[in-house]
Amino acid sequence: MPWSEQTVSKPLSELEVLALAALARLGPDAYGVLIRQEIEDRTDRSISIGSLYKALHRLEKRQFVSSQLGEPTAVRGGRAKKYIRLEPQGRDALEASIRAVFGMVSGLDIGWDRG
Amino acid sequence: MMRVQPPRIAARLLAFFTAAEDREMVLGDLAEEFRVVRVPRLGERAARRWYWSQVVRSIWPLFSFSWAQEGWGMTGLRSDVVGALRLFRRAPAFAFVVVLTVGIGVGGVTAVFSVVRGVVLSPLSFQDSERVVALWGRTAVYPQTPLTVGDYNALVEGISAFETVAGSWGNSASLLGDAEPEQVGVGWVSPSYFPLLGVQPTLGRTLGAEDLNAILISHELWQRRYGTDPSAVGRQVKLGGASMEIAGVLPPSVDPNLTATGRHLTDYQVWRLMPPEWTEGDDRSIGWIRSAARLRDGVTLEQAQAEVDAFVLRMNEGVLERDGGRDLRVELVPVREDLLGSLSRTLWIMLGAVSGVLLIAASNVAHLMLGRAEERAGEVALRAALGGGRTRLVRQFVVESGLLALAGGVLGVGIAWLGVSLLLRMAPQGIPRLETVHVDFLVMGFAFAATGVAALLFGVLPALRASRADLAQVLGERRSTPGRRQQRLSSGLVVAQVAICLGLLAGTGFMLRSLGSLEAVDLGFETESILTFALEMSDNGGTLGEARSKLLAHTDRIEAIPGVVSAGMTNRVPLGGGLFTGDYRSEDMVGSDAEKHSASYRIITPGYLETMGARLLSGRSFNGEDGMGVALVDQTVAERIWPGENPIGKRIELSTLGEEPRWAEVVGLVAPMKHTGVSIEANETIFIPMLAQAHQQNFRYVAVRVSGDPMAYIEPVREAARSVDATAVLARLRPMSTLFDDSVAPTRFAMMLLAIFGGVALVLAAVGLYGVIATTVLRRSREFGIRVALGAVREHILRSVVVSGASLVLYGIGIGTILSLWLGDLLSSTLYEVEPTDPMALGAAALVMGIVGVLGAYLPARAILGVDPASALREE
Repeated sequence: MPWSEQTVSKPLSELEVLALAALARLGPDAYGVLIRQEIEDRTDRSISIGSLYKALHRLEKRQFVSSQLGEPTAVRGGRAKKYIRLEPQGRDALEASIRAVFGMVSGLDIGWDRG
Repeated sequence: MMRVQPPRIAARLLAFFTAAEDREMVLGDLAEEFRVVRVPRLGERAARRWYWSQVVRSIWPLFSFSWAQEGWGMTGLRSDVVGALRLFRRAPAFAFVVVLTVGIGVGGVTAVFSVVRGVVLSPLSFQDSERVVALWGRTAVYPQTPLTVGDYNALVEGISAFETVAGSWGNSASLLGDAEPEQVGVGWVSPSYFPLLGVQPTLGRTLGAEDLNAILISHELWQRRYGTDPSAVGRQVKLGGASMEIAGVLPPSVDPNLTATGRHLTDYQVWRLMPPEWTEGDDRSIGWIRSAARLRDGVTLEQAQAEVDAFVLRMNEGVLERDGGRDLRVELVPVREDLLGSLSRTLWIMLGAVSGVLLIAASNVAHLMLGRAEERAGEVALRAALGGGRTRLVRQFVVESGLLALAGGVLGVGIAWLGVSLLLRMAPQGIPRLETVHVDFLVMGFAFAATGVAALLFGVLPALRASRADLAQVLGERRSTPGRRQQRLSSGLVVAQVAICLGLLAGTGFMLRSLGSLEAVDLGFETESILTFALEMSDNGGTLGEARSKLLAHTDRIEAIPGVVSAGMTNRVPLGGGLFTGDYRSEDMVGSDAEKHSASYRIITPGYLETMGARLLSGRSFNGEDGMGVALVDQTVAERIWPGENPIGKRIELSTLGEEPRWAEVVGLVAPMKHTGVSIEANETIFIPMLAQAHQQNFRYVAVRVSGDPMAYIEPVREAARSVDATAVLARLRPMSTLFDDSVAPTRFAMMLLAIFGGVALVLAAVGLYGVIATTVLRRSREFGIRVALGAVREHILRSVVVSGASLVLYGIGIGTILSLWLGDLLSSTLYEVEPTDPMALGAAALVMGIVGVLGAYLPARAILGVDPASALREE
């Protein structure tokens, strides 16, 4: 069964999926700028910082991610970073979501493989 | 690279919408990406644009997020809103006064704006109306005249700046044949008329150049007379005796107002083509073609006017004789201006006036907010000391004022909606295009913009002040008198309010005085108990004798109606518009080279002057036997050609265009009658007997003096007319008093609006002053308490407070007087026999303002100072 409990109660939004995937790629040093860069580079989509933080907040509330304040740096105008880390539940939720999508599209012959 | 700063305003904006705990990472991330990634990659300018777009796109997610988060710390906007609502519940009177004040201000501005938009701003309902100009002739004799055939044709041929030129003329005729006979206004137009307007019939076809036996009808006539029956098109009707086919129906609410003369709107229901021979040749003996032109693309009004001026100047050299004189100038007047005249100016002034009310309202609210901010200074300072950021505090204030403004704005839209329907109901006849006035999204947008400006005015100022407070200072300040800056700001607001208010009151005063002089004016006739109407008959009755007895039969039958005192006929009813002019000269002038004078000719029956209550100064009035050899003159004519002499028995040469001059004996002298308008000097007038040329009479108006309400006589009069001639049609039935009211209506309307605004401004200013004095006294209550305890007489303290309030009012009156003079100057074109510096109006306005101002200072001071000083001290 591809459905985990979390996804049944509240499926991940597309942006949340993208953010979780970016976190999975980036590892423990991920923070806002890198996450947005990663999504933009891989999907050609520009995400507004407001939407991203809204998504991260929701994920944190569901304990899919955790956060930790870093050191302020000059390049950030003296403001601190906030590191975001992917938690195991988050990894499960991401997997469940992806599985659901794969389950729906596998076997469809619409010529996507060329991409 | 490090020195490149992200756009500061954008960063502030973002910070404003971001919860405090997220600000670090959101702003930090954006700053880092801006510097490290975007600037090197895109360059500084594009990077700044990128930053802005990020901010703009983030506002909604951040805002909606903070709103939706349950239990997410009381740091977001949501908590501000909740806090604000709680505050309003604690101080409902405060919230109520603020919302009401904003509502009145915004509602007033919005209502007047919707009128301005409908009447002045919205385009006329035909194609590119701003490129269409009316062509008016001007000579030394005629200030504004339609063109002669010769001049019209010359312009059609000779001006390259015109794409199309069209001419028109109007009269009225009876419409028969398919329903009740009815009198309709007929516009006779050149074939180029509708193409020039770019107006197409919604039903049927346009009139081709040869379509002389077809008519177009207005949408309104089609609805009323034919019940929107499409088969009306193609029907045969009789118009003024001729058989015509209904070719088409014009779209609704088209204003082909090119057929308007001056400010007088015509209400044509039927349009037909002028026979081509009317506009052929180079006749210049009478100006009658109301002309308009569409400017060619790319040609400006100035260029076209310059070309026309040069052309007409050249043309005049070859003209030997022309109606009105050889010194013709043709003026190009944009149709909108032609239609609205001084009205648009009046409306803009009204908008300015009502904006003054909004300003007063906003400054009042600003003051109330200041007062509250001060009351809460302790709380604010405490919060600041405990780490509440300045932005947070400012935001709290802005949210509060924003909510109040929003509520006020909603109320304002309601008030505007009510106001507009009231305005429309009370507006005088003759204000063009009122049917286009309504409150819609654009107007509401305006209301909310006005609200936004008001919110900024009254929210941000106190917010910035309050946030500056620091704990020690505030806690210290509570023990002393208020800061100077605080005081200065409040005082400034009061002075400004008093000044604006005085301006409005003075404007009302000017208009009131003007209206007073208008109503007291000697018209030379009476307006009460007189019914007037146009009597249209299909024919005059053939011979002079027959026509004469027919006219007499009409007046006799009408006079036989119980309650009718007398009846008489004329070619034009006073104040009803229309001119019939001709020239005259005395016997003495024949020998000299003196130019003839021109005068208005009134053609009347015996009994007409008596019915109108005109005053015969000497001699006699007409009787039934008078022929063309006699005439009456009014005093202005007599004084011009026979100054100081008795005109009775003198001979006068009368000439109208197209007729041979003839001599007549003056048998009576009449006091001047104001035929053209209440505020316009009486024209020189000559009266000639209608009965002597009854068979040539085209215009017949009947005046009936009755006992009681003139409108009650409409049916009996109609029956009497039909009993003489079954085809007779009665049109434009109006009591003389209505004609008078219409004539002074614009002044009355302007005055009424100004009076309303002035009254509202007065109340608001009084409330404002009351508030300022009350807070001042409250703030100083400790000081006063000590002074009283030390033996100061309470009356002295009261007096000093009132004096300080009164001095503010005095300052305001000083500035307001300058404002009033300026306003009076703007209004001067709508004033009648009142100087825009009228000391009566100015004095009265200042007096009212002064009394209200002093009361506004005295009442709160007394109320508060009446409190036991000991309790004031204990309060601290």
